[in-house]
Amino acid sequence: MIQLISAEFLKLKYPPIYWLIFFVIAMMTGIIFMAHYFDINGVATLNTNPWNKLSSASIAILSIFLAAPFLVLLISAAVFVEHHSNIWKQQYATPSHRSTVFYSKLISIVLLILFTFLMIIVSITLSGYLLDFIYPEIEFRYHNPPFGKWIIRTIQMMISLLGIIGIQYFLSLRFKGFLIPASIGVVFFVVGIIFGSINNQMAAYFPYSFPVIGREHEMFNRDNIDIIDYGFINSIEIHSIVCFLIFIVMANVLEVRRKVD
Amino acid sequence: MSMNALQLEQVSFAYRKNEKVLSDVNISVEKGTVYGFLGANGAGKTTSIRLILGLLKAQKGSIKLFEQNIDAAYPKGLKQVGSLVESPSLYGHLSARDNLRIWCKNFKCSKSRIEQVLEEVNLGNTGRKNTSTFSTGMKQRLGLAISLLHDPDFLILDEPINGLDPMGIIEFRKIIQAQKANGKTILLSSHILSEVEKMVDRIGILKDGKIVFEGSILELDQLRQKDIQLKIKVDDVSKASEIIGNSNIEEVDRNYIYCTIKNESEIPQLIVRLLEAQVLVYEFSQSSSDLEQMFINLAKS
Repeated sequence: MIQLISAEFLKLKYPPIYWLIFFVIAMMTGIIFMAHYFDINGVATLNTNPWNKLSSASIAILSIFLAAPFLVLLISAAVFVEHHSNIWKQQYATPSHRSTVFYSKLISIVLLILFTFLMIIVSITLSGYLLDFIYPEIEFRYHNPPFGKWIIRTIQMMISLLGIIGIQYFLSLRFKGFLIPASIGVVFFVVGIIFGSINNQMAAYFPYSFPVIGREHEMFNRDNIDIIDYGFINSIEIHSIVCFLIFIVMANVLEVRRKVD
Repeated sequence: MSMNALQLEQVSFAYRKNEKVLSDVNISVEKGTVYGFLGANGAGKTTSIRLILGLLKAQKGSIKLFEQNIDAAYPKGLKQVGSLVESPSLYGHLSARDNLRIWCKNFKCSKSRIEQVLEEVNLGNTGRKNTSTFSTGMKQRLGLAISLLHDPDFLILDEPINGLDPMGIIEFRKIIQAQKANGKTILLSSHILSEVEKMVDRIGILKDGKIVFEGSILELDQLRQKDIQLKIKVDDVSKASEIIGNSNIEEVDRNYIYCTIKNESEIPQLIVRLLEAQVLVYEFSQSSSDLEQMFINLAKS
């Protein structure tokens, strides 16, 4: 399987994919940097660690606005690489079982998403040091970035995104083009934000709302939505895992049985 | 008794109910031979190949790969099989080497094979050029390189000469001959009989999802000696018709006469008789391609 995953990474040297990753990292860093740069007095609070604000703002923006469309486009493009030129007929004429191919692709996509999130943390950290250079009074340099907490929040965000990953992977395999799974994903993303922002109970069962409501981002009121906290994980994140498993198992069964023409 | 690399017994397949693409197909490919799988477009060749490769599942009959049932052999047994199905499956955004690197990982074969097969198909000098910029012939050759990459015992090539120029076809023939000399088994599908017959030991002809002929090249030649359809353009159709004999004429269209003769040896006599009767002959040709003619003969026989 490791051989197949490394083959998947070779395939993903696809310009739209690495431009998309670059764009998301640059956009996230740009937004956070600009927000601090133009409103430094609003952001900086005396005797508090400025990195806390920086990291929580980055998680909030990523969770609510950028992660879902990023996943929709990334997964659609990663699977489209196979649909284009109808690679399946060659891929499934190799000695690897279809399920192995299926999970290798999924794992490579998840690793690519995690890599992007990691790069966002690195890039925002660097932007913090740049802000410190411009505004030494915020004192980024006298505090340590809260990497532990930041990574835990990123993992929780990733868990809340699993439902979307499952659905998008399922859609991208079922539809041969790029446009249909991407369009469905974008529409669901908008609906997800609407459900999340209007404090609707439906948001707890709609996977595209999970990253919006999964954790408190100090942006939308979540009072009407039942969220049970189990410590590291909460009920919304459990919904996300269940949704992921349902769609992945379904997609795998259909893929193994698919007539390749 | 010699071993079969491939055996199809009573194989039937339909994409939809009442739309049979293959009907009770029987073929056997002996190990170490080159088998020509012929048929017009839509005859069911590619569907048969997809069934052999496990891309589709036969609804009836059995498929054996190296004497092992395909259900048991799939997918591990495909390690012995190299395939090229219709147009080659290439990652257009990658170079030829990167494409081969991907398949190398899939087949778990040695990296040194990449350069070897690139040289074999004359693509060693393509460098970092993306395969999306390759010509059709280059893509076809790279597809062939992918099928040869893991040095399989059995090559299944679907329309491999599509898009190849005459030089490319000659090169391709050499590759097939070299593979055969190394004891490999090859199944070659095509709709061009004249191109395939130079390379194969046995031929199977598929028509409307049914095998209408299976045999050696010698047996095929005997069949070809049967009725030959001619297309003749003359100045005087009625005079020419009298000479040819009305019973042999199938159709008259303006100055063209379409007729059938029993044997190739009748052709020179017919030309002499037409010229002696002072009929001007502007065109004299076999009116259909080899394969079409074969189908006509097979339908009559």
